[in-house]
Amino acid sequence: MDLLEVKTMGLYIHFPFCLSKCSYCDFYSIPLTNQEQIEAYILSLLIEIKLQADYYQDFLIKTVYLGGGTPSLMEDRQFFLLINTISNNFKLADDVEITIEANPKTLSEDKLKSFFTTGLNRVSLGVQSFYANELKILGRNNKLTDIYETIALINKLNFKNYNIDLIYGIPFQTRESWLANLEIAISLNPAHISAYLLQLEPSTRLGQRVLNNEIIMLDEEMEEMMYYDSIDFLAKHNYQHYEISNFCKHNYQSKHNMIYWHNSPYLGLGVGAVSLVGKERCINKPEVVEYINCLAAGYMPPREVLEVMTDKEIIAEAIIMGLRLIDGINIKDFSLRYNIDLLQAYKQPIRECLDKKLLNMENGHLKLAKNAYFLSNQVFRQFIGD
Amino acid sequence: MLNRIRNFSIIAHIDHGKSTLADRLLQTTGALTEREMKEQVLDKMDLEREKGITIKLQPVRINYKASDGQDYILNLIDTPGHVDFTYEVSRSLASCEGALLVVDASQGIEAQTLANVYLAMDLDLEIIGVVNKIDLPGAEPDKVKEEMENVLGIEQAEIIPISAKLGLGIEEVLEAIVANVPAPVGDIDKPFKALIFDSFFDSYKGAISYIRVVDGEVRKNDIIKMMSTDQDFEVAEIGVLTPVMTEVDKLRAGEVGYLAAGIKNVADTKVGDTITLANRSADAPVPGYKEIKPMVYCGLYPIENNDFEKLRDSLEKLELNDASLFYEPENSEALGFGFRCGFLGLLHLEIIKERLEREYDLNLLATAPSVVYKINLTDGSEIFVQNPNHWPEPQKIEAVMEPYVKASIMVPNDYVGTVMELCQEKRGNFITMEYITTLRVLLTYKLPLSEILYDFFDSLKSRTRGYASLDYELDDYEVSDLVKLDIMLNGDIVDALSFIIHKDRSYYQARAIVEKLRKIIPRQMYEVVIQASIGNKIIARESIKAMRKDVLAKCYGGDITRKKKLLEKQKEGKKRMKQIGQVEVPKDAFMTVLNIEND
Repeated sequence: MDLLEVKTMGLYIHFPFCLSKCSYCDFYSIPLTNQEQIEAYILSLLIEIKLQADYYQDFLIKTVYLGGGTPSLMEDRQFFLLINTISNNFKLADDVEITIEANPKTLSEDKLKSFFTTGLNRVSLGVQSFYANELKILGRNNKLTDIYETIALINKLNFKNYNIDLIYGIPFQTRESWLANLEIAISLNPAHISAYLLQLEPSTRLGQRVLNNEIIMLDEEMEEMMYYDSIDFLAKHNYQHYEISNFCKHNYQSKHNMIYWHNSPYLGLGVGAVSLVGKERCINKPEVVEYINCLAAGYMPPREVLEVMTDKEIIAEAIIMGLRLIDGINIKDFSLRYNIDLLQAYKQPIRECLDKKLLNMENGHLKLAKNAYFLSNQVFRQFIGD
Repeated sequence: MLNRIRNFSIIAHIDHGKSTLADRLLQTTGALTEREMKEQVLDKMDLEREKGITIKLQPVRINYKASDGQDYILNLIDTPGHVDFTYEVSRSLASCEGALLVVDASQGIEAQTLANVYLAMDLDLEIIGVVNKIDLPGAEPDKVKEEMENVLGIEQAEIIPISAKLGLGIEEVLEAIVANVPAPVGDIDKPFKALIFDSFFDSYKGAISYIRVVDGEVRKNDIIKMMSTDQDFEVAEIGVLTPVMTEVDKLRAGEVGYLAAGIKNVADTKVGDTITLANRSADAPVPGYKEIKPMVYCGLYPIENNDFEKLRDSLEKLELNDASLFYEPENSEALGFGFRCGFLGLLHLEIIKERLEREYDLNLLATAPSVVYKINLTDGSEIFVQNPNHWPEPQKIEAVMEPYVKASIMVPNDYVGTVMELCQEKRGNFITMEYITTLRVLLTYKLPLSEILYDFFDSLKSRTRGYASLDYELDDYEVSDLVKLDIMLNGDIVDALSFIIHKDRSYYQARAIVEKLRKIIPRQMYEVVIQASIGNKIIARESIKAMRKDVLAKCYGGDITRKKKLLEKQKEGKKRMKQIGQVEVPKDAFMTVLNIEND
């Protein structure tokens, strides 16, 4: 089996700075104190891009994704430098998808225009909610008007390919207010909607408040209803459900995220960024000062190998990532790609999940049953570990 | 030679400072250097140090140059303090001629002080009274001495005031041992005869026995014979404990030491057996110990079904180290293959379970403990039942009897009322009340053993702010209105959760258990209905709603490693669950039926 055969890859660029940290967020992010921080960071990124690119000259870059943090805090000049350096050093596909994550309040008309000119063709907007009380619980720093202004701007520039991130399961949220959120979202006509269940991380401010009983989470039944409400509602409005938490208009899937779900290679650049190349997944150590210092001195920032997978582990990962897609796994393609007989190799767990009606087999695809979307870990656990 | 040996034990109520005194004796006589000294040297097991109690008896040889200028060998046999282990105390006392009785200078005589003194008196041991902890602010050594004279008949003038912690009075104790404990009697010229008073399994040397030599002597390479089984073995090593195992040439009459003879089968070195020589046999064995009967039984099951054989091997090895442990294979519909095990009490149960898990790397599940019930059947026969699943059909039962104990409770007179109330709640029958001193009362009650086992001691302690002390001995069986309570999951009886309970308490208890199970059984893919029933009658019901959410909302490249680890950890967690029918039950669930009233 040669897993290195696939010669395309995605680039993920991490931008760690945020204006302030949201109450539910446990990602690596740094509160922004001055613009010089960004400048120093971008310069380091440019060096890392050049250093890394040498190793990946055979790869065609299909997607570039700027995530964070809040990458939309970047100035247009910085964005230009970044994209320009990438395209000068890597081989970009003609139809390369270039996405930036943006928060309302951080984008001006000039900046956005300039981004587009530079090559940006997808925006993922962190809206989370269209209700002020919900934004407050989430500790978001923007106002409702910021959201509407930013979206108005995108629509004014006649830009289609953008995503709205929404969160449901927020304490005090009702089934009605969630549906109203969806209603507002579709009225703004985004090409893509991500609807995420609020996941409580104990280390976050919100996590602590819940642990201290200052605030209570919604019960499972309510969360489940909200989830299936979103699927039904969005389907009715021509948003195709294509991954557990993701919906899009026809042909507007996030190409970059599809790389993750297809277990294809990706290279992470920037502090805290994760790469998967071959059987190895590694992370640039999440230490921004060290990162900048290393690159300023001309060598690679410290990296940590997260895992070196066995063939079996790669396959297990490909299964659980693949099953996140609503279309599931194409059994024939999968078996060819990994040189195994999927149905035979995982006979017992597949049988069990089919019996429990958690999985379906349809047209040569193995996929989650609809009622199992919200119970999908029950399926994934069957394939993982020993 | 014999007249230079002194064999003695230390007896005390729990926490009166027995282990500290033992440590100090070793240190003062130089048996251990300061550097080797750590607290509770004789408490070898990690568990003992953690719990601050002594579980196993432990012999040690001390060399002491007395004030008469002579060298003496003092054999100290440490004893456990908890009431569960009275049997071990009696065994160590049987190997001695004298006992140090340690009483706390601020607590005075407690229930177990009395019980232990009676044991020692039965064996005609010389008792040396010691008042410990005289350095403490609340110490009243004179008052305690007076108490000891009045209650135990030990002359005040003979009682030695000490502080084991500070090392005060230790020399006096050593001198008193030499002066007052009789030297062992035994005949060096008679055939070798020794009593096994404890044994344990060593993976290199095989079974090792602690022995007290009564007559004659034994040397390496001698061929010995176990008198109860007539089996012969060649002695591979003999030695003494200083307290580290130290090889010697021979062990002679009156001495205490260890013996290894490459004995692989643990059943061949029975505690209480007599060892003699194959070619020159003693005519009669030493009177052994009476066979101890466990007071409480429960099922022990491996979480992993294929660990059954490993559990069997481990129990065999532990049994060698613990003569009071009983076990036999049993089969549960819910849990598969396991063992029905008998214990001296709940602490004993807990300790055995923990030792099996730690020392033998097992993951175990214990079912609810049960005492042994006596049942008269309508056909005129009588049976004993220690497993609720062997409970006969109600229509076949003529009468049910449960074991009662005679409990001695020592308590300051202020708390007499509250203790009587507690005994009443626990279905006790009052027997007597005696004033030991003007302020301290000895209450005697007859109580059902099953009531004592669970949380009686904790309740007693909390209601008397820790001042009450308890000792009990098995009394007899009495007729009682008992029923079998079954727990059902999704309509199927879980045999491992069934237990026997007094009818008056069954409704309350059933509701409490069902409620508790609802809390500790996690949500499953399907709704789980929990019911409690007596016969065919359902008396309590709860349900656990089906799991509605088990999902990772976000899963992208950056966090897949973490998410996979989470899933793996959850999968591991399931191994701590026992699958019963369609339901996954946490292993602790089986003990919860006990802990209801503590919540």
